[in-house]
Amino acid sequence: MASQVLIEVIRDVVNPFEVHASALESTGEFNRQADEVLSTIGPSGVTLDPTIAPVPMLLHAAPVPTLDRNTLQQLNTRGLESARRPQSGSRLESTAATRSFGGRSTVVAATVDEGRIAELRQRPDILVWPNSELVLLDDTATAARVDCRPFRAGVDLDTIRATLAVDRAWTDGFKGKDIVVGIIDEGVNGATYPVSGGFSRPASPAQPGSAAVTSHGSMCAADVKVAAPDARLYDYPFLGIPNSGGALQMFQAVLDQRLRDGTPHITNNSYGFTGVPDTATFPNHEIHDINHPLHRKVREVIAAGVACLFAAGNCGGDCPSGNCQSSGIGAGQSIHASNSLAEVITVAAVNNSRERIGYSSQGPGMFERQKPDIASYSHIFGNFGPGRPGGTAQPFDNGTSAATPVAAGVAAMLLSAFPGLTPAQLKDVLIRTAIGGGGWNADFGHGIIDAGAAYNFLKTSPPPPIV
Amino acid sequence: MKWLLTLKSHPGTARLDEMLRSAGSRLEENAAIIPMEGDVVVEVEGPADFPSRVKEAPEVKAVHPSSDMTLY
Repeated sequence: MASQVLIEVIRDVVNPFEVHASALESTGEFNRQADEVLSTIGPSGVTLDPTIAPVPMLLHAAPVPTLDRNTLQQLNTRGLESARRPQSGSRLESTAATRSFGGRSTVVAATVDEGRIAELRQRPDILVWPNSELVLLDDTATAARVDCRPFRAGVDLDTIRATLAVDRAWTDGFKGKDIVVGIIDEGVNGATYPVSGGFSRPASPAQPGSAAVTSHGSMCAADVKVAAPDARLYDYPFLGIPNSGGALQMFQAVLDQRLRDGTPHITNNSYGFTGVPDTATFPNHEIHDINHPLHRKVREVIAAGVACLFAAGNCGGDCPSGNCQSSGIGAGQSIHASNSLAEVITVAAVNNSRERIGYSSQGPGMFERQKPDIASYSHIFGNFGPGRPGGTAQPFDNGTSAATPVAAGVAAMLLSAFPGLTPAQLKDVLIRTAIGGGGWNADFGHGIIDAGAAYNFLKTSPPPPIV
Repeated sequence: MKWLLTLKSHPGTARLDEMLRSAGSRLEENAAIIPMEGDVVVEVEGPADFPSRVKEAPEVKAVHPSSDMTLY
């Protein structure tokens, strides 16, 4: 096992700007400098990145206040002076702006065997730093990239957890403990994803926990556990084809339980409609009538303190799911019914590279216009994928169906740290801290969910106590 | 077709059965009676014109479809 890291070798470098410039100008000098650093590190198990020249550092890694303050002041002065001067033609031209600096260390990018990393960390003359992948965050760049069939490869759980930045909350002990997520779906496999409650219709063969591990509900269960492995699950299995009557009964069961013992705290809803019926012919359809009993019941459940996350749908205009009807594909007509209620959290889908997945339904929503609210991650080796419980019947957990429980898990993680959060506060913090925010758009909503940023925000700005 | 029938209050099992039967419909098997802000909602299996068949009944407040959905 090897990792990409930055290795900092502490050593004095005379004329650091010129040394670095010479490596950029000459392959021979590049290789000479790389060999020199490598001989200090020791070459075994270390492969230097051949595209990045050794970088001199002017400041000490450990603060030496006076020395570094002087250096910073010098940099500031010289930088301002240089900005006023005409540009030099050559990197190699030594100027007064660079000549007087001394380098404190040299940094190289390398792929290093895990065993060597542990050894290097022990050395007083070497520092090892992460070399994490960076992502362009500007909306234009993100919006321009769409992941469509054939989709990019899925990613494993460690990767998606790193992308979500759950580490700080987890280090502080918050992994969803004591939070219950109700999964309203086709059922969860309790042997793989233990369920501690739920509801089914009387005499129904679909009892909580009785579904196959390849079920859609099991996928949702796996994806809740991405950010909240300690969360508890309730299973609300539909019988046969889901319909709004079945969902209505499930939400009533949620409300009953919530008023009895305060659980569940969250529901995950990865289902909805795939076409828009004609308004004149079907004025009372779930998509057109905001007073449909299902929508009213959903609002009752949220008013009782249960955050309800709904998938945006898989009828985005770029590469809609095969079961989408033409009336329900694309912007403005693919997020509807309960999934577009103002009170719910509506979730679009992106991949781990933060590219919009082309089937993810696009706003505006048909009830609340600013839908989706946020985007979350799909195409994960959660329940499905190599070595995963559900096997490879599907290449990876997919759909906005998978993105939504990932977001529900983040919500559970946050609630375990800040149990007083109301559904509205939870939605607010997810929106405020979303990546690429700064406004709503039809593809990503207010941006891409960032568990670490949401947690940090709440640590520094906890919501007011409930009176 | 499946419908959600909103009633101003539960009229009692006998009256509900009679009303549904006269409209060519029946309660959905294992359906619960769902309380809703003073009203109750029941799931019904009935013909496509079920709404027009029950609209004159004094207990009836609204009829909505119970449409099939898709797992995303």
